[in-house]
Amino acid sequence: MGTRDDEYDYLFKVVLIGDSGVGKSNLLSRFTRNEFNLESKSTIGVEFATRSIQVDGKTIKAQIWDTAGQERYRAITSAYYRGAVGALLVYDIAKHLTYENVERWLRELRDHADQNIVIMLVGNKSDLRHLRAVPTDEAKTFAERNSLSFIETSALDSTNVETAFQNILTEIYRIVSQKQIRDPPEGDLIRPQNVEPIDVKPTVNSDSVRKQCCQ
Amino acid sequence: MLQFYSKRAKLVTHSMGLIKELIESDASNEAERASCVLKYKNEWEELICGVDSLRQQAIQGNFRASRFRSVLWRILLGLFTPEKPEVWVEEASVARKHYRELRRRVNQYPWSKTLKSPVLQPNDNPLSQEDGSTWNQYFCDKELRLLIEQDVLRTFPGVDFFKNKEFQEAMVDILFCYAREYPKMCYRQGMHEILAPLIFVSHCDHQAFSHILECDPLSDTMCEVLNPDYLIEDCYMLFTRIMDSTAVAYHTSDIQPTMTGSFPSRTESGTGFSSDNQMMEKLTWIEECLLKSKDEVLHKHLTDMKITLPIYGIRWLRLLFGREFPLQDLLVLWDAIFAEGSEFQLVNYIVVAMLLCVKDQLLNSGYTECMNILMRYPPQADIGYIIKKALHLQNPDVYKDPPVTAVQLPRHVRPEDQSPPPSPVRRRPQHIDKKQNKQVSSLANSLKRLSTKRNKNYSLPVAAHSSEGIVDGVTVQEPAALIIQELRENREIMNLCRIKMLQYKSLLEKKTDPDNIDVQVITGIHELSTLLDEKNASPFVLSLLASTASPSPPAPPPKAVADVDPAYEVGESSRLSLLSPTTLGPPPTRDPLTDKLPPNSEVKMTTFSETEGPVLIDNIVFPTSSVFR
Repeated sequence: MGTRDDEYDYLFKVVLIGDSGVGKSNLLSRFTRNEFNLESKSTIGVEFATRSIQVDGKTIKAQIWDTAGQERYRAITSAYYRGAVGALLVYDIAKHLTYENVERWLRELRDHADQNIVIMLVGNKSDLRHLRAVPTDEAKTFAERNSLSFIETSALDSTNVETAFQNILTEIYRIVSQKQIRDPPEGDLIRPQNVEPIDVKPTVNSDSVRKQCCQ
Repeated sequence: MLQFYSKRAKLVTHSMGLIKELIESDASNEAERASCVLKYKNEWEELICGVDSLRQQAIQGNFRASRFRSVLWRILLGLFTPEKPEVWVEEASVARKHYRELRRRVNQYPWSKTLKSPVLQPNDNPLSQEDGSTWNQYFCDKELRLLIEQDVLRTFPGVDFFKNKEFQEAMVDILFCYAREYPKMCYRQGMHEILAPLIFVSHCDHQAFSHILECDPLSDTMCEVLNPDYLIEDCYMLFTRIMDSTAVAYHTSDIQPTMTGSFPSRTESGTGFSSDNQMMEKLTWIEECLLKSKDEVLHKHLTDMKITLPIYGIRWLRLLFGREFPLQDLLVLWDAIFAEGSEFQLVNYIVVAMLLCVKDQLLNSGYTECMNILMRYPPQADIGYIIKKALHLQNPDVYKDPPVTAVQLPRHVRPEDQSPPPSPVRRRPQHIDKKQNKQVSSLANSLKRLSTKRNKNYSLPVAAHSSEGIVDGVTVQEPAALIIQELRENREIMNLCRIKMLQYKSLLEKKTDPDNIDVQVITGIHELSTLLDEKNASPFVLSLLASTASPSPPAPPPKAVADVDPAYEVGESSRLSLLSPTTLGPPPTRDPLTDKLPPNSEVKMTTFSETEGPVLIDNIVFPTSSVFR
């Protein structure tokens, strides 16, 4: 009866973006219920799932949104990015085009998401070693240049899926908790009464300010 | 030698017996076949009656088991002139010709031209990127086909029918031709799931047709209209017509898809996302005008949480609810949508009816739970009720509000699922057949759902109050809760078996001579089904099940170590109890400051203590009649 909505210390909204067929929905299902479907339906509109993890003894509830890759559903774009504090930008290591489109997705994030959103570049399908089209080093360099964290995952054999979500949630947690120490909130932000995700406001901490340009 | 002959004699006697059986069964088969053909022809005749009567029957769900749905839809959608089967052949042939020409036109191979005049044009060679270049067109086509194929291969992954390569290729062909005939629409994700049921329905109709044709000649009109050779052409005809009325859910006026089916992430003006979106307008209208006027409380509850219709409604409208209901229910829903208004106006009211159907669950839930309900609409929902409710919302003067009880009872105790009275051996009237067919399909679905669910984690009303341990994304609940869940599921299966048996019985009855020995079998089946009747369960079991399903006071929830809200695939069973009366009543008011979570030791199976039966709380004591002993 909705009681679980209250059982967390932090609630972070994380969005999954990337081209159609790179495996966003399977990353979501692998992380939230440890399941993988070789032939999963294409996502229409948005999907949504949550899972809680522990970081530093705190319960962090991740609210993960997954969307269709083919086109932006413009009607829900603002709702999709509103309040998102993290983004997993996924490409398929076996399809170079999906990697080339990463720049396009970064542009979209810049247009619609909070400027401090934590972005992680995810090369999925790392199990397809023999079909690899995007070298790890190339993606790594690209990620560094654009101040993104980077990881390669396989939703199929579950390599690094847990780690990817753990890392991004921990990174967000560090930013948010540092901000709270410096700048204690007036209300009870730690246990919000409504489910609006914590808003990461621009901070003076230069480490967490993302570069404006990713070209 | 003697042995040899006796062996041979035995063999002959045996074969004689076999032949005799064959002859006898042939005779009975003959009669059966004739009645089958007659029934089929009658069904066809029904299509020829007035379109108003067809519409009425369609919204009442009478075509659930129809073998002419592809024809019915063409009549309802105005592709065939009602009551004039003599022109259907012509109408079909025009549409078929149109598709064949279109397919020829959009499948041009640049090398055929190059072979004729080997000199490459400066603006038309394999490297040219210009709009008029046939080579450029060719490569764009190839990319678009790949894009379509990516989705087609993922169509209804659970249904074997769609794994068939032939149908997959047909789907790619149709979607590609559509994208080229309507470049503004192009191909968009979701179209494949509008097309898939059309292919399925047409193929089923063709199968039935071919089967009957083997037994008896059929009229020329039938042969032409149902000619299996034109599956693709006929599906294209239906698909374009349906897309016509669903375009709003796909089309965005200011963004033009490219030739390869991708979409620029910004509009030409560079302002990013414009508000000029018909889909958004439609959804806002449904939300702000329809829902708000029908149920202000529910509207406020959802908008307060910022759960707006576009978040979940886009999929509902794009796929015409294709992922919210099982295929058999979906077809009945489409019957009603196509019957009610050429622009599918009923769709708007179906959205509201679906929301009202789960109103109590929504009002009792927080953000996550509400999102889960709306993103994965409860599979137990009664499609008949939703259609009736939508019709009432659309036109309260004509259609009366259906009684609410139908959806709020769990499926297995719904009145329509009660066993039919034991009847003497005789033929049943037509309308009962249809109702039974409905049960067969929904039963098959329920059984499938149950069997998949049994392998997963259980969830039931007490789950919210029981302590949980989390193991890598899987929820493990209290053993006692599991036992009750198991018990409930077993009973549900038993009940389903009983209903199925009764159906088989009535099927046999129809085919059997009253004096025949088979009557014994039928009587036996009936006896067995009576044994399985729910009413025969021990009073304890009934009280136990009733108590866990009754409203319980909001017990303090235990502190979860790590909370995992299981996410489900679309259409997958999520909560068996979702539509049970458990969640009725006003939402529990919760004081956020005093709502402290108790330590684990305080948590008891409080729901048990509420029961009136002989059940204790911690040391569960069962009476001697208990099934647990």
